[in-house]
Amino acid sequence: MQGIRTLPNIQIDQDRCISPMNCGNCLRVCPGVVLLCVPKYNEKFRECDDDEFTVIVHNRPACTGCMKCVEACPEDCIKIEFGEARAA
Amino acid sequence: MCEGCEKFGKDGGYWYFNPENYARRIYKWRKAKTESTGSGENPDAEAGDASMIGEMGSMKAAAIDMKVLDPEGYARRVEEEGKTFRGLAQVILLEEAQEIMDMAWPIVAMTCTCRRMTRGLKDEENFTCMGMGTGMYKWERWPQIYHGGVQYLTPEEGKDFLTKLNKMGLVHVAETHGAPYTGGICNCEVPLCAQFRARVEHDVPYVVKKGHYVADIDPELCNGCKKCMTRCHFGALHLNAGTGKVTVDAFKCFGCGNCRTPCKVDAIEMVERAKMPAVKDMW
Repeated sequence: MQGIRTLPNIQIDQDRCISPMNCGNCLRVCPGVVLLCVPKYNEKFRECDDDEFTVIVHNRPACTGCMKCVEACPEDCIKIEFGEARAA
Repeated sequence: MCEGCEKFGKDGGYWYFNPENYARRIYKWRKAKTESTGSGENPDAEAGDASMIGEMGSMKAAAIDMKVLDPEGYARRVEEEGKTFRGLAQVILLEEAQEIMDMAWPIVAMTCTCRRMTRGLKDEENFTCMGMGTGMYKWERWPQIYHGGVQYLTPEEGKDFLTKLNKMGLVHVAETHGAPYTGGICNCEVPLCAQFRARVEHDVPYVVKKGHYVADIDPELCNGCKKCMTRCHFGALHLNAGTGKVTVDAFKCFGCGNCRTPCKVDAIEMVERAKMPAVKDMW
């Protein structure tokens, strides 16, 4: 359909990541909206505070490998490698 | 006919114009089912942002990977989840959203959880969502649980607020929380909003329905200024370079009416989907 699509392997070092609601640089620059910031806890009747959010890789197929997020991260937490290629 | 209107409409009208769908008592029905089970058990239950990466909005990362790694399995999964999907959301015009302002109470402006998730926008710079009905009192009642707060609006302020959001280029969506309880008007965009991502990007057809209208451009009036094209989220408008006019791909049009707003010559008219035979059953 769209030729061969390559999926990246994206790793986020959660230990070094500043909480995304206080930084969010990677979220804002991504053209494909690959990353999401989600609460660490999913409990009814409890909303997370700003420092209880975490960045996850949500939409790998949309990553083009532009590396904007890698450059934007002040703590160098994000690593992107393109590996497996699959037919889409 | 639109499935939502068939099930929840009154006297052949659109479902979001049926006042019963805003009634406080059906908010109670929803509560009775969900409160005891909590999130995870019941698709109607809500648990803040995390519930947005479930079937209701966008999809879980592993499922999205399947699109590439196992396309057939992905299609099966989408179909399977559709069988139990009970949500209802539909694109509406600005005028329709404003009409709803006179029907529901209270009306609030609140933070958009999709934009918080996708772009990390803070609550105070992110008041682009609208809530309605009795559920809106919970911020006031339990501020220690529900953060960000809400801003109460009069119907007139609500209409102005919607006009402002429409100028920004957002698409209004009538949203149910446990259908048919209609508790909000989402003001969405592609690709930041979970339900449109699922619909447009991930081919999940049921999460949000197209509106009751389709844009139609009068070629006599169109002067080819292309202002409308900057506002279409769905790639439904094309500039025909040869004629210098813009045309609508009705099969892609969601009927949000966004393209009309900047048109100086009033060339764009929203016609009823039902009157276009080819797209009348495309929701």
